[in-house]
Amino acid sequence: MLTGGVLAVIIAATVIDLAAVGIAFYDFLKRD
Amino acid sequence: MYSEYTQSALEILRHPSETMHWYIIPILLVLIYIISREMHDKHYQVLAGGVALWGMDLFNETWNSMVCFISGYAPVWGTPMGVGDTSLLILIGYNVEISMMFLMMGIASCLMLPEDRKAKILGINNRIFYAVVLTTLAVIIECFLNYSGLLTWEWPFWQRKVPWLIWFIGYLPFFATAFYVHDRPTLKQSLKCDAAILGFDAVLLIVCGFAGWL
Repeated sequence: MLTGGVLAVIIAATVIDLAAVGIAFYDFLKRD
Repeated sequence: MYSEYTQSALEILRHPSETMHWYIIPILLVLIYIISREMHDKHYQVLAGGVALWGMDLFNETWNSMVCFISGYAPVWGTPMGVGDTSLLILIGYNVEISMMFLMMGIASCLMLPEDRKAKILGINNRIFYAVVLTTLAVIIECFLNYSGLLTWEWPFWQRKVPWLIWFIGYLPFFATAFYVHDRPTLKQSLKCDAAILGFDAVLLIVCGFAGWL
């Protein structure tokens, strides 16, 4: 079930995905 | 112990002799037509944005597979056997139809973007506006697919009742990255972004393949 390994994968994936959103949105807002 | 849905998906995982259908061939040709059309029109950065969205999804599909095999229970999202028959289940929650759909979605979403990167819609930067609207529409369709039984969600944090995580890490990064790559000042920079995303995917797939997590 929700073991440490699974949690680590989900947290790492979330960080990577949200970092991508952060980089992109920073670039979009920089133009304003 | 794998869930019932997961066991059914594992039975057809990368078994084209059991699942392949002819319909996938004309769909492949439609995809080739779309790519050829955009190349003919020299919309190279639209294609680069589309590839970025496809690559971001492949990243998510890979860690979804990791969750399935590390937990020994279920992927975060799965595509079971017998419902919405696929032609080829590539990863536990990723079939060939999904793969083609995401490339088409990436290209289509970049084609929607106004040429003026600074243009605002309802007072919001147009890239952010489109990312938010398209993410919301995509999550609504995902919820319908889940309701129809084509997409199974067996973890409590990934459900129709709590769609926030699906919205934030399921789709928003896809559109945001696609638009970011599309907007690079030069095609070379866009292609470098694509290479970084696909390179990361390739490393992850190789590592997961050797670890038995695919």
